Parts: sequence; C-alpha cells; structure tokens
Amino acid sequence: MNDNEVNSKYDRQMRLWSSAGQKRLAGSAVCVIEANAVACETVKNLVLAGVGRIVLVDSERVSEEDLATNFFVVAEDTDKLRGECAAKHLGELNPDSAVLHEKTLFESLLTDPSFWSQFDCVVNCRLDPCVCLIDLLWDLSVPLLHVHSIGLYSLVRLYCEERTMVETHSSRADDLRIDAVWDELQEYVDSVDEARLAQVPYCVLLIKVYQKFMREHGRRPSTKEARQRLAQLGDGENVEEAIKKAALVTKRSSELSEELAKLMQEKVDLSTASSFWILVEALKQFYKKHGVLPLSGSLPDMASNTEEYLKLQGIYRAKHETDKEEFTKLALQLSSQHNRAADQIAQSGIELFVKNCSVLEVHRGSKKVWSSDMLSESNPVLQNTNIYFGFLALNTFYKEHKRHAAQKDQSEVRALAISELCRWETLKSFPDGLELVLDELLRAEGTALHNVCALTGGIASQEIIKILTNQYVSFDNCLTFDGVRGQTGSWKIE
Amino acid sequence: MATILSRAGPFTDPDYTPEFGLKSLATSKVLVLGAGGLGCEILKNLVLSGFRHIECIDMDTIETSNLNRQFLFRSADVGKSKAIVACEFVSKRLARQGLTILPHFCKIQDFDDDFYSQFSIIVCGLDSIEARRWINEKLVSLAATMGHIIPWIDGGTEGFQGSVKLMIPTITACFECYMKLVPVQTTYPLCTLASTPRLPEHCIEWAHELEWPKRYSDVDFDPDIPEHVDLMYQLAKERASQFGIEGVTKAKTLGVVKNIIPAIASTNAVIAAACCNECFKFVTSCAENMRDSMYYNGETGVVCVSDPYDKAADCAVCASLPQEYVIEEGCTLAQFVAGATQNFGLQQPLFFTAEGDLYNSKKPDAFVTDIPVVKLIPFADRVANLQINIVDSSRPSTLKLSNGLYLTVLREVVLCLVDLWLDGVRASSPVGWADLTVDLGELEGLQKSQGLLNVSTNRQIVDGDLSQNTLRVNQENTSKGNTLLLNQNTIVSGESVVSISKQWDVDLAQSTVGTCNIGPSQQRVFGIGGSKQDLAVLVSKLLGCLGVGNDLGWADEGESQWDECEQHPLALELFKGDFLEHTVDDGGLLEGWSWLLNLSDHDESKLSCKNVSRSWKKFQDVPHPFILTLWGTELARKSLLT
Repeated sequence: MNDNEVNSKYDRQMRLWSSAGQKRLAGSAVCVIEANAVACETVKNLVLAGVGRIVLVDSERVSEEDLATNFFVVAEDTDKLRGECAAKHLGELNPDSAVLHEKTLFESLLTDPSFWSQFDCVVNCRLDPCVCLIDLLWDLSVPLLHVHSIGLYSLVRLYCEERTMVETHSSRADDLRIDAVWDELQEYVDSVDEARLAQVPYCVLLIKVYQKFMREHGRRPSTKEARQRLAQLGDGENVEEAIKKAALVTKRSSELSEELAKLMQEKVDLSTASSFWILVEALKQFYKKHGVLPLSGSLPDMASNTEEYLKLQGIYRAKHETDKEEFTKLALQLSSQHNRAADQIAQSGIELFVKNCSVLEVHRGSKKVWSSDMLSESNPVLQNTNIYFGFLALNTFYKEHKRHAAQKDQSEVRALAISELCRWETLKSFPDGLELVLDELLRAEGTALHNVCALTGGIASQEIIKILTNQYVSFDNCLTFDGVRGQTGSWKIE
Repeated sequence: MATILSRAGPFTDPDYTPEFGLKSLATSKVLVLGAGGLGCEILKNLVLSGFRHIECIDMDTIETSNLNRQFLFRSADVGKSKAIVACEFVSKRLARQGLTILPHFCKIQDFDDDFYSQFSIIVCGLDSIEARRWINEKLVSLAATMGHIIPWIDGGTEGFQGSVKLMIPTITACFECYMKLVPVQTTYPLCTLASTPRLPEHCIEWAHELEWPKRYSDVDFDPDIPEHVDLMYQLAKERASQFGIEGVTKAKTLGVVKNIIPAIASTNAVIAAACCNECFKFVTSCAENMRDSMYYNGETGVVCVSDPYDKAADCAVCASLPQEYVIEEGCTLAQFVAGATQNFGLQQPLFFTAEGDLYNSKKPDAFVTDIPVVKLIPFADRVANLQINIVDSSRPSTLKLSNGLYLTVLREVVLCLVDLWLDGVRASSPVGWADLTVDLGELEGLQKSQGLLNVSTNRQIVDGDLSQNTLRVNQENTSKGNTLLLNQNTIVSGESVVSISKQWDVDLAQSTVGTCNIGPSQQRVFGIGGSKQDLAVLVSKLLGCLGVGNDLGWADEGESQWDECEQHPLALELFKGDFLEHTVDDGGLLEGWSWLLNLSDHDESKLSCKNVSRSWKKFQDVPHPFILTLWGTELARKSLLT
C-alpha cells in the first residue's frame, strides 16, 4: 500500500490483499447470469470491492417477487428489464466499477465462446447448473460458480479444472531450521558466548541445545529434554520464550507437508502446463539437492536486543536471497529446457513462490454435478449434501413441469429424488433427513428469502475475490448453507 | 418471505400459524445498533424480511474508508451522520406501506430503560466491545429486575471472519459469558519499545506511546488528523532508521495507532444476513433458531458452524447471585447432604473439598455420615473462602455458606465426565479425581481455577498467577514429579470453541494413579491409564476443537507429540508456532484458536489428523461413558487415533 492509498476507500480491504490484489480486482471482468436477489447481493460486494467490470446476463422483467427480495430494483422499475435496472442501481455503488447489462438471451450466448472468454470468472445464479455452460467454460478455463438459493437453503459450487494458489496467507510459513543450520548461521551461533546468551533470540538457544544434545547422544532431544537443558541457561526473557518453543527441536526441517509431498509427485507436461508447475519442478529439484526447501526468510519476533535480532534477521534474509537465486536459476533452466519464453516467469512471482513454497495449495476440480459417494454414511456433512441433492431434484422437476415444485408435489419430488439416486446406484436407503430437506424446499415453492440470498452472495463474492486476486485458499468445491441450523457444510465432488 | 410464512415446514414450531408469523412481523419493533458495515446490511435485510418498525442508533459520521462496504453511503455523504443517511436511504429505496425507520444520531448510552423496553428484539452491529457490554448489562438488568426479556442478536466481524450470537437475557449465555473468548490485546513491553525495538510496530508504538507525549506534550494525538499521522510516521521512521529496522510505512503507522481492523463487504454481508435470518426466524417462529453462537471463517475455504454455548457460572453480569446457606453447628454430614440436596434441587450430588471427597451419593457406604460437617472440612471454622464443590446435573450456580464457604456447582460438561468416573468405569482415586478437576478447571477457563485447585489432594500450587492464567501444579506425593504446566491459556467451554490467548503449552507426564498397587509390568498400562485420564480430558477437549477444525478445513499443522520417556508413557506437547490463529470479532478482537494435531505415536508413524477429528465427531453423539471407557485402554486409544 503506498501513502496515497492510506485511508482511501479501499484501505480496510487492502490490508488483507494488498495493492497487488486490488489492482487485479480493478482489472477483472466477471459475468453474472440472472439478476435475481442472490446475484445482485453477490455483485454488490464485488462492486464495493472495486472489481473493474461486471456484466449481468438477464432477460427477465422486474416482478413483484423481485421487489420483495431484491434491494437493487425499485417499485418504479416494475415490468422494466430487470438486468438493466439492477445494473444501474449496482453501478451507483462505486464509480470505479462498471456494471453492464447484456440482454441477449443466455441460451443464444451459449453458442458464442468468444463472449465467455472475456471473463475472469462467471457466476450462474439460476437453479439449473446448466451442463453445457459447465462444459463450455471448462474448455475455456474460465472458473464458473453456480450459486442459487431457495427458502432457507442455498448452494455454491465451483467448477474449475485447476486452481494453483501461492499466496495462501498461511500462518505456517516461519521456518527456523534448528536442525539444519547453514555455515553463516553456524558461525553466528558459535560466536555467541556465555556473556551474550542473555541477549540473543531464543532460536539461537534452541540451536545450541539441539546441537550439544546431538553431539552427546547422537539423536535429537525430546521437547522435555530440551526444556531441561534450557532451564539451566538462566531465567532471561529469551530463555522463557525458548522453553515455550522447545518443541521446535523436534521439528524436522526436511519434512514436507502432506499436500506438498503430493504436489511434488504430480506428473505434469512442463511444455504446456502453467508456469506454476515449472516452479514446482524447480522446487522439487532444489529439495532433492538440499534436502530442505528454499528458506522463506521471515523471522518471528523474538525477545532479544535490537542488534542481535537484526543480525540474525540479516542471516535468515541473506540465506533466503541465496536460495532464491539458486531457485531462480533452476526455474529459468527448466523454462528454456521446455522451450518456454523466459518472460513467463517474473522475478516477483518467484519471490512470492519462494516465500510461500511450504504452504502452496492446488485444487483440482471436477465437471461432475454429482458424485456417488456423497450420500454414503461416512459423509460428515450429510445434511448439507441432502440440501444439494434437493436442489438437483427441484431442478429436474422444474425442467419437466416448467414451474417450481410446491408442497402438493411432495410425492412426485420424492419419487424423482429416489429415481435420481437409483441412477447413481449408491442408494442403500433413502438418506437420513433428505425428506425433511425436500419438504422445507417445497415449502418455499422456488421463492427466495432475502437474508439467505445476502448471506450466500457474501460467500460467493468472497470466493470470487479469492479467484480474481489469486490470494487465500478457495473452498473446494461445493457447499450448501442450511438457514435452519445456521451452518454451512462444504465437501469436494471428485 | 410471504410464501414461506404462509405455511408450516418440517422445522416449524407445531403451534405455528401463518397469521401469527405475519402479524408478529408486522407489529414487532426492532432496534438496530450501529449503522456501519453491519448496520447498513442489517437495515436493508430487516426491511426486505418484512419488518415494518425499525429504529437505529449510531453516533458516528461517515468516512472515506467506510465506502468499500457501507453501501448506503456515497462519497458526497462523507462527514454526515451514519444513522440518518442509512435510514433515509433505506426508507426511500424500499418505500413500503407502513414502514417507519427512525434514526438516532447519538450514543446508545443516551437512552434509558423506557426507551429500550419498547423493542421486541435488538440486532446489534456495533464495533466496540465496551458498547456491547453496556447494552448487555442493560438488557440483563431489564430482564432480571423488570422481567422484561428482550432477545438480542450480536454480530461482529474482522477481516474474513465473524461471529453471531443469539442471546436471551437471563436465559441463555449473555455477552459477558462470551468475554473469556476475547483475548488480551497485543501490547509490547515498554522495555522493548524503549530500548530493544525489533519490528516496525515497536518503532511506531514507541513514537505513539513514549515520544509523542514527550515532544508534543501540549497536543493530544488524533489519528483522524492527517498532519498528526504524518508527524507520527516521521517519528517512527526516524526511530527505525536509527536502529536499522525496515518496514515502517504510513499504512502500518496508521494501522497501529488507530488499531485498524481489516474489513470487507463480503464478511459483513454474511454476518449481517445471519443475524437477520435468526431475527426473522425468532420473531415469526417460521423455523427453529440456530444454536447459541455461530462462527464464520472465510479465510481458508468457507466455514460456518453454530454451536451451543453455556452460561458462564461465574459470569459477572448474569450468573445467579450467591445464596446464603447456613450450616448449623453440629449439623452432621447426613443432614448437610439431605439439606443441600433438597435446597438446591440436586439429584445425585458429589461433594468434595480440598481434602478429597466429602460425600458421594453414588457410594453412600463409603462415608461416615454422622460426624458434624465442619469437622470434615479442615480449618472450616477459621479460614474463609474454602470451597466445597458439588458436582450434579442441576444447573450451574454458586452458593454461599454462612460460615464463608462457597459451594460451587460445576458445569455440566465436567459433570458427565465426573459422573462416569464415579460410575466405576475406572477405579476411583482422590488423586485422579483431583487431576481431573484441575484439568477441567483449566480447560473450562474458569477464573476460579484457584478454587478448583484446592480440590487437589496431593498437589501444591507452585506458581499460580491466575491473572495470567499461568499455573504450575506439582505432584508431590509421587516418586516422579508430575508437572502440569498450563501457560497463559484460556480454554472456554462449549464443546468446540476453544480459545487460547497466547500459548498453549501442556506437558503431562508421569501417571499418578495406581502405581503403588500393581507390578511393574502392569504399571505402564495403568500408568498410561492414570496419565491418560488427564490426557483423556485434554484430548477430549482438543478433539472437540478438532471436530470443528476438520469441518472448517483448517487442516493445519499444530503438532503434538507423544514422547516415550523413561518410566512413563506419554507426554503431550503442543506448541504455539503451529497453531492457527483465528480472530473472530470486530473491534473486540475475539480470538479463537483452532488446530489440528498430528498425533504421532512412539514409532513416529504419523496419524492423520482428519481421522482423529472424524472419530471424535462420531463419538460426540455417544454418551460420554463410552468415550472414557475407550480411553481407558491402550487399544482403544489406538482405535481412536487411527
């Protein structure tokens, strides 16, 4: 954040996703299908956040129902084009954001891939997940969100082939390397004599204790053993901190998180994959050679005097720089080996990658609307998958009857649900609680409650912002909100 | 809305009628506190939910940095009253028959009991903890003194996270009961600021706390005056360059001196909508309400769970007041037990003191009951504030005895565990008993841990700085020292909400139970049992969090280790670095911690955290005895962990 941005209208959000994230939002374009309440509530949050361009695809006219649930159409708009009215009112929220209306029929747009490829993200707010749209956007690699709400329930589903997340904002990035000290750090640790022990950060104490114990016993100390030794070093603030953090001596610097280990084993065609995978390959090579990842270089605050802390900080940063340099060379080499343009890998990208290399995340999506293990008994969010399944059943009903299912259609909807379930051949018995969920959905007869729309729009917009800024970790990849219990449940459709 | 209300659903109160729902909606009077990020959303949501009579209080004026989320305001409104602009905007946009929205541009403290009494329900989107504590006290006192119960729903956000609490004064937990979830605000030691700064924040705080008052003693610093902020920034920058510290920026300076909390539109939308959804359900009875408290986190994936939350037995605002209970001289144990049982409506109480069990109604034969009670409580006649604890399934309350003894009825959570202990799932022992109580005392985060500690027979408080929640308990009567170290933590009840303010550091080692009675070969097993009885409790709590943790997808490291040390089996060690910090509340800095444990066994084979939490989820619905039985054997422990 530069000085001009301080206290600007984006101040409070740039403290989360920084200027870089804000710039990406400003340069993004999002398409939203249908201008109903849940869509407008989603768009509202995108406009406020400063997303550059938003296009509403809608060909309905403003109805009574819209007036009852949607803040962005007014009484005078009755019978006018809904998308146009909503775009006007939403656009007023922020001059930095252009909200446009596209009145071409959604169905006709489906035959025009060039229309869809202009967007960084598409949001479908209809009841129908629309399989052709899913296929179309999947092939165009445009992330698609399906968002809908009926009565007290709602669903959000992300269709996206691959999400590679570097800036995960994980709190786990600190890495002190107690058991993998390099020359410069060793030199510094050795230079700290008895007299200076009280002034140095706890990390130095841990290294000393660790190394002495290793020399004497040929194995790493347990936390308890480390504590016993630390306790003999006096009662300074740094010793106290060291005792609290003693368990760090048991942490293996060479150990990779499960996700990262898995990630490194993935087979990717490096001549075509995104530059992220070149960096992962470079990381793999670096790790193979050194047995540890490149150092992130960040050091937590530790009680000590200024001079010693800054010295230590300097040593960690220098190591980070050296590691980064080596890593960069590896990455560039790989890049040219696979005949890729060198400019695909920006220096700033490498810096971010190295800083976050221990906390990378990759989500692989699925085009499936449904997976067979969702209603199994081991599913921890059964109530929430029931809701999702309810939406699918209502959609089937709607397609057949061209109207929303109501309470009188109870038996038919149940029968529909059962036949759907049988199609997936996983049905042992009607899932617990599904009947109640279907009944609650039928009660609303396709109508929406504003609160549930607003909540769902909040969640959807947040996930869209994560996608657009490529920061933080997205949900993966399906969730429903249960407005009766006040809970979401999220699971992955493989 | 009309469609939903026109018929009952499967989760509707059986007595529900559409007439009732619609009429309640049309006649209820709702008070909205705050017209900021949450308030704007709340006003919109309430009108679109069908509420017709709304009033709104906010003392603030509109600032530029509000515009990224407070969508009822435009640049031209900067400087005007939030309450007035927001209410006017909503009235105009959503003009409906019979709709009145009345703004109040003032403090909530400016109104009296009569004002508040006119409302059916209050929805609160305030950003200050102090203001919420004030309204909480007001509402609890209205309920307690005038029998006028006004339910209220409180929302709070910070960055990607937020929480919603549904509170019915005197009936459910009040805002004060939740206060133990609020962590101490990060402060920097003065000596760090004055002589050993290391971070840019240290330099800024130095300028703010120490240098400004010295240099500009006649000017009060005001973060809303740009010149002041610039000056402060210069001071901090000079300080930093003097020490060679990098990273002091204007944004950081303002962040520190103004204690800026990141805020985004999407989180506000989620939290405000959840508040209004509960308000709508509550007023119309169209569906059941969520449990007491909802927690939302959108930082990693999307997590939104609602949990029950118990009233704090020691809540300064809503806990029942101490009652007089007279033990007459010569009153025998039997008479005391009978009297207390009847007086407090106890069912199967266990009474115990610092010396061990006083009376256990499940094992009546083990106690001599014709001795005067005071003889059974050492120093009862001389020392005030000793405690008799009662464990029973009756509701939590604190009772005062005329001779200065307090009876503390422990909370129900404790109770199930203890009950089953007494049921003989494991051989009872006063020592183990005490351990259990102490652990739970800590785990429950009760401020009266002091009292609970007294229960311990063989333990001595080595260091009990309760204000810091630092506690060291040493086991004296065992050959191997047993040290329980609970550092600066506060764990709060509610099966799944756990908050640790600074550091969670537990080292549980040597077993305390049964070692003298059995041979060495068995000792280990039993030792494990003994030690694990502590662990069981701890782990049960930890897993309680894990259950949530898993739901939340916070599959993060958080490491715990089972160390095999010489004579004894297990040490559970957790350390902070790997815990995820979750900050829940707006302005108030509600902080929760969550973590997933990697429990590694002796052979260091890694066990998946996800499995642990899943097992726990399954066990949650099973009566507690089952769980402890499980923990009673090594095999069971494994089955739990694998």
